[in-house]
Amino acid sequence: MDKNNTLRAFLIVVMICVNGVALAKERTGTLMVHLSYNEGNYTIVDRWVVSDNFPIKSGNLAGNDALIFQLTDDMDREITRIKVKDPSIVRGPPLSDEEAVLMGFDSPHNIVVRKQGALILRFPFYDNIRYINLLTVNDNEADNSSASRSRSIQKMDLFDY
Amino acid sequence: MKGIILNLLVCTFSALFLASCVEVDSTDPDPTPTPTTSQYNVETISGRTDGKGLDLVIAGDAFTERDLGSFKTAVKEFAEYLSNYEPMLAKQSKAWNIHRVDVISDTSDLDSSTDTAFESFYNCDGHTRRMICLDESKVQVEMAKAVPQYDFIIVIVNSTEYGGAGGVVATFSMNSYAKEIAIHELGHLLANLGDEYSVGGQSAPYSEPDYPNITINNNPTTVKWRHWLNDPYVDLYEGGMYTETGVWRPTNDSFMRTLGQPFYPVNLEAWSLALYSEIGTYYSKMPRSSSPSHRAGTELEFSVELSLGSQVQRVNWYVNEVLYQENSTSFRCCSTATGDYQVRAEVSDISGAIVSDPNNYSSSSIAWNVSVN
Repeated sequence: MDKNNTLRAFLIVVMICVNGVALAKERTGTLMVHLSYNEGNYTIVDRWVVSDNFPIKSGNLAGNDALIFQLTDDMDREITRIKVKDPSIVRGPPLSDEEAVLMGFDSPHNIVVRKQGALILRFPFYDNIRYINLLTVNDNEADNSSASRSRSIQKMDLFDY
Repeated sequence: MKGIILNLLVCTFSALFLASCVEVDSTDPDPTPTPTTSQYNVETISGRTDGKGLDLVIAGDAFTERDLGSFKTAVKEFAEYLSNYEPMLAKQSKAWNIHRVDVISDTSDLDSSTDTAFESFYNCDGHTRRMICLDESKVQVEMAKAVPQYDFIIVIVNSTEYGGAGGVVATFSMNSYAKEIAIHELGHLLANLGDEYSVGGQSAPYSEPDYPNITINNNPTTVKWRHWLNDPYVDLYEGGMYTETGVWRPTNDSFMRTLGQPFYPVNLEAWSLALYSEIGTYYSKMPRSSSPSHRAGTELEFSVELSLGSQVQRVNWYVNEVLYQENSTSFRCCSTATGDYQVRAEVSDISGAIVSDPNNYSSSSIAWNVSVN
């Protein structure tokens, strides 16, 4: 810890003692994170904050094959997590009903898995945010809060990318 | 008062001292809110702009300035198509906020050497002519600037040839059948519905799929849609999830099997639960405090702003667990109270679309512990 950080820590402790309460972390906007992926490897391209406190969608019903991104603080403690559909999946459209009849066959989606692409995540913004973790979950994830059943497979530093 | 002033002085002094001694990291995320800087005109054609509800952004590609009128018409028609696709969707339309983003391209010719705004092109997998892809990264970044609260992005591509795609950005062309693609894709994206059609040459999965409308369990007493088996449309139909055997779907046909078909009960229930799961049962409550107070002899007004609306939701009001008022979004009480009491609003879905909700996404209970002064 350098001199400045020591001073900072000391003053925060003094403030807590004098005021008698911990420094509350209040949400002050919405954090937008632009990620790119390359064969399953995610990196931060950009991040910015908008002043509105937009609600964060949980993606609870996104399915077991969804990706789980976790926002953590500087001690890597979870602030929140969201589930999103795998952005690398692109589905071609089935034939229209009329075309399928004309052509005489059913038509599948023609699913394509992109190797590279991008994804925007939306999180609540707090002044102690630090990391975005891509999580994997051990089994059928019934309980989002069960940290013991999920582990980080990739850590991205919002301060250093 | 002295304590507050002392605290303020200490905080101010500490903050000033901190600011002078802590070096600002140049890579620190800007703590100052960044104004949205979108180069595009945005119009909210239905719903709200505060992020409550599901925000569907519709942009266009290959629309020149001259084509903007037809783009606006296409968006309007799609919004109407979405809300009228099923009678229930019309009743749930309050859940959706639809935003049109006017993106102007230099050309409307997808085969031109000049790129369109989002570089859409057909045949993007090399062998499926109707599959349209585009620069998803650019679309997402631009839409995040224009409508940062977006949940789904649809890009309408200015071509009359049938085509589209689904994924983090869904596309469909101006072909009259193509908008059905977007409804089908929302089934995947919002409700995690699986494809119900079959194509030859694929095997059934070994484990139970997590799609609400696909199963490998053909036992009617345990199948995941057993609570719908009294419905005349619902049964166990073999075939789905790309395979003809060993997989069952709930209805003979649906919009997840054939474009343009109805949802039918099992898919509609999954869609409705997904709405509640994402946006909750209500947007706001009054009083905001859970511990309000009022003077004896006066009343307090309580209210709940429903997420999907009173066509499909009901609020019942209880005072100290005694039912006082049914089916109203507001309630006034209790001038005769002589002591503290509790008011509770019970919000539930009355649409009939939801029969089983084990996670209680579609209902909630809001309590106020009221003090009488």
